[in-house]
Amino acid sequence: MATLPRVDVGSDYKEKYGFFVPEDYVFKAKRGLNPEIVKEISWMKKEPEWMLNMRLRSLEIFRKKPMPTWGADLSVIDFENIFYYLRASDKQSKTWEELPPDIKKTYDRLGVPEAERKFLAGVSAQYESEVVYHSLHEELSKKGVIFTDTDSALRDHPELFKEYFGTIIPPADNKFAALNTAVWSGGSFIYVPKGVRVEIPLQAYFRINAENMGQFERTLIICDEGSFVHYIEGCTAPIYTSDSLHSAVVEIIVKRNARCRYTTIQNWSTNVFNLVTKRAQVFGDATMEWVDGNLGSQITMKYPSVYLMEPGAKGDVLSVAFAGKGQHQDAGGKMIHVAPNTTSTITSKSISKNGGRTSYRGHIKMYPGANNCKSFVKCDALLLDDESRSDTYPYNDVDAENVTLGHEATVSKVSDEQLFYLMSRGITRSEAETMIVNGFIEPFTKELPLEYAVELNRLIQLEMEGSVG
Amino acid sequence: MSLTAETLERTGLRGEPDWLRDRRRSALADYERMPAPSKTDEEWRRTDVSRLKVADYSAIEDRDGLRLDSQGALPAGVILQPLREAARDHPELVESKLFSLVRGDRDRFTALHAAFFTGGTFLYVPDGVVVEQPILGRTISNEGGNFVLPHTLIVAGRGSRFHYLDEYIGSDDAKAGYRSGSAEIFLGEGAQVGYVAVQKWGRNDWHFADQRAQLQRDSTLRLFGVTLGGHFSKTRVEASLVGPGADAELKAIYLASGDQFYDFHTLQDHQVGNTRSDLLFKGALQDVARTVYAGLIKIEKGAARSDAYQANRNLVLSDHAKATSIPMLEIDNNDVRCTHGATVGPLDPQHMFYLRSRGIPEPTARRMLVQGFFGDVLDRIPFEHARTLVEGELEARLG
Amino acid sequence: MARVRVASASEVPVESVKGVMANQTEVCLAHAEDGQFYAINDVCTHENFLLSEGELFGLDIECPQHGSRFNLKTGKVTGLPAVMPATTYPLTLDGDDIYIEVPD
Repeated sequence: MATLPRVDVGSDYKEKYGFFVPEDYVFKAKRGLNPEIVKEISWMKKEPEWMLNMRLRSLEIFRKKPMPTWGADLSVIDFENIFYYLRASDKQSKTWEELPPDIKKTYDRLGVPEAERKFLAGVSAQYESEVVYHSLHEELSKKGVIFTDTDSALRDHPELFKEYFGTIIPPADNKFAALNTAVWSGGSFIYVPKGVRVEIPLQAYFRINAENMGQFERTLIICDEGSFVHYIEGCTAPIYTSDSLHSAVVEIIVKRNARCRYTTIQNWSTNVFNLVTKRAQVFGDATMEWVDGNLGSQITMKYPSVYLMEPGAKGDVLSVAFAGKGQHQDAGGKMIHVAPNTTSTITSKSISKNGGRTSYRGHIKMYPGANNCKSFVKCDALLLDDESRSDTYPYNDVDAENVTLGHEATVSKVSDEQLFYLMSRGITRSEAETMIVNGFIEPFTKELPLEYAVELNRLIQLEMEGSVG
Repeated sequence: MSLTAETLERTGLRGEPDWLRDRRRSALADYERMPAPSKTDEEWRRTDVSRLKVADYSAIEDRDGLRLDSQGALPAGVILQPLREAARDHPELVESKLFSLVRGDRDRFTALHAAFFTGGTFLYVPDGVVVEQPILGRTISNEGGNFVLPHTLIVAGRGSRFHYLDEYIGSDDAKAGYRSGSAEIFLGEGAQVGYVAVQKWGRNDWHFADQRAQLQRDSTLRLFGVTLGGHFSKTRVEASLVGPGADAELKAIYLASGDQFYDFHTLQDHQVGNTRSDLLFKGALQDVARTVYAGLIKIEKGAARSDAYQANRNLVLSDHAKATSIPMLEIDNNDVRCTHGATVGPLDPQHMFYLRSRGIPEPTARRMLVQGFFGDVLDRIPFEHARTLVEGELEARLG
Repeated sequence: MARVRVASASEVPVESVKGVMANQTEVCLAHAEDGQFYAINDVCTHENFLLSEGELFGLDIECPQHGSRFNLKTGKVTGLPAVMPATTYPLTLDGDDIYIEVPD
């Protein structure tokens, strides 16, 4: 196994993000991946036999599948040197007060209590591989909304769970979907009944915090007819000293006339391999919106996709990627038009600096019969210095009739005129660049709830500090 | 007959210098060594060559029907000759250049072309020489069931200036044949070259072409491609900008009808800074025609202050025609301006409505809109003779 | 349509599949857990891999390459990433002989 030059995730991490929490784990599985580990995970979770069998089968599929030959270089991942299951505390906390103090301290730094107060609807925060704090507003419960961690959902809603789990992203879909299905733990499960609109965003904070620790959460969201939900996942992660793998699977079903928005702010520390499969299946006149921000990680490969199954279905991807030193953000989106009169848009904004690399990779497919569809893709890349790189790979397969397909992309630098203008007004170069970058990603930021927008701007500022002056 | 060393000895090598015979043999070895393109290979995923049986066309036409017309006397020092003669007469100019841009070992089809090429043109314009009248090359073949593999090699000296037209003409009634029509264009410092290629092979033909130019400092290329013929046509258009100030304009139109399939693969390779490239490929599709465009702008590290533009516009005139467009960027320098775009879509119904509401019958309105669609790019044809030719062809085909 | 003998029942044990050629059509024969035989087009509508190299899950066949699932009775997609249904063929059992009806 090749070794990669260690990325400096920051001897300055503590100053930069202001926290670092020591490990304290009740249960820690062994490193490595084999049927015994998988059985142990399933046994620990007291899972039904079908899930154990599915995990074992997925492990076999994972073993057989080759690594992707495109995208980022993944040859440095050592699958045998990863923890596949961790649990931070023995049992789930029921209230905020019961949370272990060190976890609370971390959340304090992130402003979670703030969010907790604001979003009474519920916080499902994942610390390590399992959801440790979870609260659900009574009113949501009364409306029949289920918002729980995925492990509990398997236990408490077995029929609903089995009907959908793995039908959108089967284990054989790709190597990392197989891995996730074999060792998944945690994640969110949401069911929104017919006609119910969840007006407050549901959110979960995800963290990883142990050396060589894998994070394989699994999220399943079902929006029944005419319903609406906005789910937000966000993460920042403290320091580690060796490579860490995050490989999530998110499956979403949006039934007729429903709308689902899924917002992500990903800020793993820059030694994490973030390889995520996200897919939504969307039915008649329903809408799926992926709002996807990738700031952290060493390598991201993530292409949220929407399968537009019936007329009137609509898919949107709004993607922002920021790649600094040693980072490669390979992100984009896929729109699969199955039915006629479906529409999609992909908007991608990427920023590269200090030798970072961003790649937009997208796929628009229009199947035979998916006539009168429209799709528009717009990619803008900002390169902040001459060491950085940006690529655009939009793949289009159109087998339908009377369709309209557009793609536009630009690559540019921060213009000297803009900088000069701002600096002539007494703003430092670094501040001016930050302002320009924040302006560049504004179409993304304005889609975020205020707290997230503020946090994102703060993160951009942290990333921009010390940039070429 | 088959594509063997024996065939090669019997046909291609007669009267050629040793270095060229060796080159052909080595290309044949490449051809035999290389696998057929796989559907998993991105470049061939949408381009199906599984039904091509190359051996069906292996009768090789010794003469490739080349007519060269310089429209009057050429200035002193200019060499315009069939390529195989030039290889014999001017090895010092030909040997180092031939197949150095369009490499025989790139894939099976370039190998086949390099091993069996049947002729083509060599044009050399010395430093500082200006040729006012366009130079016209016509390759005509009305037979089917054979190979016609012309190759154009153009060497433009420093500060030279001229226009060249390659016209490939076949018959729509002939049986299928295997055709290429490749060109290598070397532009010396400050050279200004207009190159137009008009592909009008028969509607049953297979066509594979590689047009590749290398631009030294301050040189300007205006390349214009027209694709009208062939049952299957794959054309690569590539420009390497290797000297600062180099400027490549790559424009093309295509009109695909019936069950024609066209594939275009383009590269704008900015190897150094202060270079400019501008690409626009525009096509109209009718009936059940299909087209694939895949283009890449590559800005290499250090190629600062480069300016690259790439666009592919497809007008889909029938419900059953399909256009695929894949514009790609690989940008390794920040001090650049890069924009690309692609569109696939039908005629604008509002434009149609406007014309119809003014009493213009539908077929006429349609033709006007298609001509309007091509209008801006036709203006970029670098010289009058070619412009008249292309406009005439379009007029005749749009009916 | 033509009626073609494609296999003997004993060649396809229960809960197994077998790829056969019927005229020009590639067909996946399945002997499902319900004891019945089914015939479905062998070429996955997603990316053209062979279903007969996959596994049965109840009355679904799963493509080995990307995990798409098709219902054996109807050909309908029961699991992504495939979206287009597969063709199914009428099948009759005559003694030990399996006959299916495929296009000429």
